[in-house]
Amino acid sequence: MAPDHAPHERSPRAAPAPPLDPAAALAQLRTYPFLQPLSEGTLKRLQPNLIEQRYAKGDTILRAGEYSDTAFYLKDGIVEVRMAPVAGEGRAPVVKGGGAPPPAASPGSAATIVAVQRSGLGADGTVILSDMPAVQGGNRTLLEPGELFGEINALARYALSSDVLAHTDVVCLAIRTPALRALFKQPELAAFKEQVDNRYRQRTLGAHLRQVDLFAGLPDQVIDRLRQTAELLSFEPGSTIVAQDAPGDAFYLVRGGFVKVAVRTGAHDLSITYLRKGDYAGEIALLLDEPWPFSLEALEYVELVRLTRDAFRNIVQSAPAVEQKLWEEVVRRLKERGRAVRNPLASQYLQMAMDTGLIHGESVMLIDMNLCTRCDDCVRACASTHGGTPRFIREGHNYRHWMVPNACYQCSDPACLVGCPTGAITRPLGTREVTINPNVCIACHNCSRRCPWGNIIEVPFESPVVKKHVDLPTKCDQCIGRSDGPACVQICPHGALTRISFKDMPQVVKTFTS
Amino acid sequence: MSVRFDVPTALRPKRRQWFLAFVVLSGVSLVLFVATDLVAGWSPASLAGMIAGGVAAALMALEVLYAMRRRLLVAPLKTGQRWLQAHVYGGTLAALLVLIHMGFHWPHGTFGLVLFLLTILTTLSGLLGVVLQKTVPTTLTSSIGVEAIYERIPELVADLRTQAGETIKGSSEMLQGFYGSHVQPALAGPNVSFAYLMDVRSGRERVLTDFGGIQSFLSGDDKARADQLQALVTRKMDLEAHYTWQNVLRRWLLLHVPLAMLFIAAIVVHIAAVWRY
Repeated sequence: MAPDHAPHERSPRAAPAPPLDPAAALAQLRTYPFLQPLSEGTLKRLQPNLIEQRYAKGDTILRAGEYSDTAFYLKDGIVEVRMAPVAGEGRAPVVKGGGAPPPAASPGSAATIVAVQRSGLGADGTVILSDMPAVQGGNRTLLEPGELFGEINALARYALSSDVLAHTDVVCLAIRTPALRALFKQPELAAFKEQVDNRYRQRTLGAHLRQVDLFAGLPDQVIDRLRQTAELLSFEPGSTIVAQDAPGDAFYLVRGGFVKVAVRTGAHDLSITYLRKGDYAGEIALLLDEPWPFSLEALEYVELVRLTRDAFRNIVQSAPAVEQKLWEEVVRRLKERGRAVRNPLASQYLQMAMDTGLIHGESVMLIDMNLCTRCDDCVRACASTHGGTPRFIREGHNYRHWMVPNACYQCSDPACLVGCPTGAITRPLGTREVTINPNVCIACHNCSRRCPWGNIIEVPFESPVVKKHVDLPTKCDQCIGRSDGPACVQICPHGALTRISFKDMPQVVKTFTS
Repeated sequence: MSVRFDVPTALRPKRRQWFLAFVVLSGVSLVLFVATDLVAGWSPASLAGMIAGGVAAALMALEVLYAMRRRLLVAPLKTGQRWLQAHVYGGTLAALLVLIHMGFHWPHGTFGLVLFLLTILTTLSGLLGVVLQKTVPTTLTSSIGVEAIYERIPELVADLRTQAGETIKGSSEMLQGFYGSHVQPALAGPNVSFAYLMDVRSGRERVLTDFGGIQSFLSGDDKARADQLQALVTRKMDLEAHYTWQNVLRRWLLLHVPLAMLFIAAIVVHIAAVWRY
């Protein structure tokens, strides 16, 4: 397979400390003050996801643009946070996934940074937030022992907005997402949770609210009041966030995960739509002063910001433009609800998308099997474009006469980007294509194991990195750089193949019912 | 009261604008032919006849480009669908122009007859392909419960045989006998079977009857085994039906391409002969 990218350098990351025996590891965890209230059993259960790590001065702990499933509790030493430069400032673009860190973001070159990216829109239009402290008078800041960082990225799968480096030799506790969620649920750690929530309010909530269209124009003092009163909530998959007909007493802003919006019809719930990062709900009940006209259910782990009725009223009173937008949204949603009830078939497609995880897909390949003559020109075109090896298989699950083949969905929050040790898998900011650089990949298969859909396939490859024959993970990159778009779509002689974003549900329904 | 007429799928154009363009060009060609015939009489050797023949030959040459396009999959040369539409409508229009070139008269001489027959056969085989490509995918999707890549079907059927071999282990002598006489032969192949072309679910009833007959003589475990074997045989029949129809979709080209090649060669000889003599 021909290499697709030029190799690039990447500063090394510190290796975790050598593994301890279980008793010593538990004793080590006991040295962390915030873990001390936990029972022996709880700590034992969480131990596999709590790992003490040491970094030498100058090591990179987290890299801007990457997705991470780990938060860090700083035990000893000083950590430096450097904001990533804004793309379009005359330098290389920030790279989600960390494959090609911009020169200014590499250690020792921070002085050249001219602008920073603290938050902004991701490829999918969702917000990318900084979970780092506000930078005082520049583009870097220092964190001291006792600080927790990276938790928002781990919980809500935001791309990191900053590089985090060891300013001195550093000892910190890496807390992987399952442990972080479990810790936040422990009653003994309520104070710790409160501390983390307060930090979120101080560091991020203001930026988060400003990124939501609705609140973008709110006066600073209103945003400040919201920050003080906002409640941060987490929900497990399948849990009910709000039941239909519950009293309208709060407004919810989604900061992570997917939420199903449904209405009860007979014995079943009828899906109306779903909410994702940056979306909100609750305005209908609050504005009309009525019970909730539909229910909210967590489709996966969901992180929400809850604003009370009073806080919401405060917003509406202080910003008539916001009220106007909210009324427009009320009308839109009630129409959507009416449409769903009148046309349950459309809801069926939405439910399918939620059940199968297709709602994550920014560009899902669909083949109309009523048109497909099984000639496999699409597969051959894919192979021709990628050095002889196709990046997808014309097999997958079928829905009615549509097949969803095993080709990358280009997810909104790609799980495959989390934890790549070399930064070989990347998504350039402002694009939706996730790509794997074969000249950097060490074939550890982290990405293929993480892909929930099994859409990363492995092909034999003579790796220049590990200097041996490996099964290299490869995936559909939508023929990135090809002027006419994906070759598979272009070449199909019967127009059977299409790409669709499941963010655009009306288009999805139109496609499936065509 | 309006009457709605549903055009059969096989006849429904995929791209209406292509179809309309074809109809307009065909109509214009025929009108010009009739007008010329009425005014000056028609002859293949006349200027109008030569133009019709020349355009037909040029369109046939363009037809060949489609085959080349399918081998240049990487090149961003417009969509494959557009190329196929041009191939289908261009080819049909070329055939019409050949008939116009001949003045709709029966050809003179052996070579003329060969050329005429090749025109008709190539066009008809192409249109047969269009009908197959429009109808077979729907048949496969709506009537068969599985989807499989053609090249993998023998492997999938072999897997079914292995599963059946595992299922039969430890069963009664009666079920083993039934396995040897009915299941093993049913799991052989896959073979291309004409029966599936007549009825895509051909043979189901017989299998169900066979399994139904043995069920009443089996004990609890063997009944479950027989159910599993029946599911495997049914799946194999689905795969075999797929294999047969996909085979048709592929083999049809073995009819069309050689005819088209002979036709192109005959056109070259015809043009050379006209040029020379």
